[in-house]
This record gives sequence, structure tokens and C-alpha cells, in this order.
Amino acid sequence: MLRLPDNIKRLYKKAQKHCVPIEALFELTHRCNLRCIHCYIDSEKKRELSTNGVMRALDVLSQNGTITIIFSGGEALLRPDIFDILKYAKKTGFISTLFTNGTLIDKSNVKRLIDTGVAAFEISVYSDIEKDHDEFTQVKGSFQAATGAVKLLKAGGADVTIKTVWNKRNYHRADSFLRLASDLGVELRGAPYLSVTNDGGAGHLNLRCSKEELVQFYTQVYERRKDRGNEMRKELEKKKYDYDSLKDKRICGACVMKLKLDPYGDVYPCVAFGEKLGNIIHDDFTAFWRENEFAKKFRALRVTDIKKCVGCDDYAFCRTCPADSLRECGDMLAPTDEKCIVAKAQREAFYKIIL
Amino acid sequence: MSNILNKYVSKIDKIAYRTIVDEVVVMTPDDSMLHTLNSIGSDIFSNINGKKSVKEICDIIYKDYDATEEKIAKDVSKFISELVKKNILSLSYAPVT
Repeated sequence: MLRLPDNIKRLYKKAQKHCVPIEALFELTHRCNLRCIHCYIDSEKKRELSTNGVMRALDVLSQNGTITIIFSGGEALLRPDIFDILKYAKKTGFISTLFTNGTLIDKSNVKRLIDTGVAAFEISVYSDIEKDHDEFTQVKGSFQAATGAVKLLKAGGADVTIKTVWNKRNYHRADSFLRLASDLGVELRGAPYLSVTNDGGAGHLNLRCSKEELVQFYTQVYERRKDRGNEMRKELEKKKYDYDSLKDKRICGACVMKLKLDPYGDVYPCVAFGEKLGNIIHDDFTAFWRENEFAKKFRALRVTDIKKCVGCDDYAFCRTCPADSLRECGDMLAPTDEKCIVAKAQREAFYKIIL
Repeated sequence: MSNILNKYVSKIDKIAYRTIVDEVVVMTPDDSMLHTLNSIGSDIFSNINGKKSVKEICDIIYKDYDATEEKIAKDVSKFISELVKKNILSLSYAPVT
């Protein structure tokens, strides 16, 4: 996982304060060779930015202060110009991470991929069991391909992380999943959140874990981290709901210090918000980034504007997302049931194991 | 440090940089290093375009900072020399067109 040097972390704070888009996620394509059941992207039949278009978009981001960039998809490696794009990003000073399903990485291209200068690779793996992963992606052989890619990238010296979505099918296997990551020599990151898709699809939400399942999941997680108990207890104290400090804190970095770019050049506040801010090729980026009405309204909000959360005991464990709230509840200041359930379960497990 | 005041200074082509509000961060692709410049360093860097001599840059900085001309000349020269060593800037006897 990409770890930024301290001098850049300091710049992140400045970017947050002055609304500089220091971090971007660039969906290079919405095409994909897998059919993951939770995927939020709807596959449009629109013309993607050309290689020159992508490079122009990178130039605009660079001129506006973007330093870290995540290249994502769909599956970004389906673009035949991916190596040129990654090399250009390196040349123009971006710190790049590539999100990929790993299935298109093999012996023939792994060195070329590492040599593009990508700083970190994140590969999606949905289970430590081959059959379960392949059922989740709906493509047989995808587990072998993904874990094979992890091994090849690691052997080539790359920084690799595997990431997952914890859900009904894999939550009970946290221990063995973490063992798989350890065997592969990589970190496993994951979160138990499943979102409504871009076109409003919610069929996969039945994979969300119940509170009891989440307590079981987090119990496994905290059991493994018991040795860090003191440190975690101190962290918890700092994260408790404190109205006075939170009244000045923005809800999140969406359209504040980060943005999402889709394959057609449209710019959004983040990966989850569907509100288009403008087009990076056809519109004046600086103007719409500053002046877009939605962005201005969102930037004015503070954590304490989420009234339901004021003083909440679960706040330290909460990852409320205003974009998810907007999709699910029609109100970005109304936390979703999912976020509340996850936070409560995490708190319960934390108190049981760590406190 | 030799006297570089009459030399012209330019940014090396292959470096990349960003301006975050009033601070410049320079990336050197060969070693993937990120160099953040302080406020005065960022001001100096922003004035480097291959067409100005170090002396001309000192004159611009002198107008904005409360220090003697000698002190500014010494500090600017030191800063530029350090970035030359880091392969971020280069010096020449004539302006770069």
C-alpha cells in the first residue's frame, strides 16, 4: 500500500484547507473482463478518452496540484495504451497506484508493468478459496490469475496489496484470508461496505453482513491485533465525538482535496458521488472546480451538520459516507443503516476484545 | 560555493513539480524523490524560467523579503546550488531559449 512521505502528508492538510485536488482516482475504462457481483459501475457504450485525451487530462490535473493518482477501471489493463499512460504519469510527476483484478498480468508483461514506475499495485481478491472468489467474479480461473499476479509482482519487487470486500460469503474466513495474504507476502485490506450501484442496482446488498456476523468478523480482527491494544485504546480516545473540534471539520475530502475522473473525462467529487462537476477536456477545470454549485455546497458542510451523529458513541468506528447516504436515503446528511450497523458491531467487538 | 550570480538558471526538463497553494513540491523521476520547498524556496523556484540570471532572481526576491541584498544573494545562490546538485536545476552562461 502506498505510504506517503511526511512532507507530502503535510501538503495534504494544506490541500484540504484550500481545496486543492491533490488526489485523483482515474477510471481509465469501464470495460471489464470480470463480472463481480457487487460492482457499482454500469457499462456504458461511450467513447473513452484517447491516449492523447488521457495525457491531456493528466496535464490538467498536474497543473491544478494533483500529486497522487489511482488508475482504476473497469479493468485498466484492458486499455492497450496502459503502459504509455502509466509511463506518462510517472514522467509528469504523479505518484501512481494501479487498481487491477490482476487477471491480465503474466510473465510476459509483469516487468514492463513494474518498469512504468507505478508506485503501488492493489489487486482485488474476494476469498481465500478459489471457488468462492471465482463465483464472486463470475469468471472461472480468476482466483489463480489474481494470486498469480500478486506473486509475479512481488517477485519483481513491486509494492502489492490485496484488497477485499467483506461480505456474507467471506466474513467468517478472516483468519484464513489473512493467512493467505501473509503467505503471499502482502497486506490484506478490506471493508465491509457494499454500495448501491451507479445505475441504482441494489440486488447485491443482500450480501451485506448482519450485525451479529460483523461482530464475529471484527472479533477475529481484534483478536489478531490484541498486542496493539494500548496503542488502539489511545487512538480511540482521539477519535471520540468532540463537537468543538468537529464543528470545523469537513465531512470528507470529496471535491475538497480529491476527485474522480471517468473514462470520458467527466469529473466527479469522488468515486461514490454521482454529481458531475464538469469535463476535464471540454470545460475550464479551474473554473468548475472552484465554482460548481454542488461542490461549493458540499465544501460548506461540517461533520456536526450530520445531526443524527452528534454525540454518537459509535463515532470513532464510523465511516459514514455522504455519497452513500444520498444514494440510499436521498439525503447526504442521513447516515445509512449499513454504516451504523458496522460501527456498532465494530465497537462491540473492540470493547469485548481490546478494552 | 562559486559565484553563480551572472549565470542563467533553468529547470531540468525531466523534473515534474506541483504548486500547492504557495508551496512547490518537485519530483525527480530518476530516484522517485519528492522535494518540498519552503516558502522562499518556492518563490525562487517559481521565478526560474531559463531566461533570468541568478542575479535577476535575487533582485525579485529582494523586493519581497526583509533582508540585505548580500544576504539574499548568498541564500538564493546557496538554494540554487543545492538544487543543481540534486539535478533539479541547471546553470548556463546564456539564457535558455
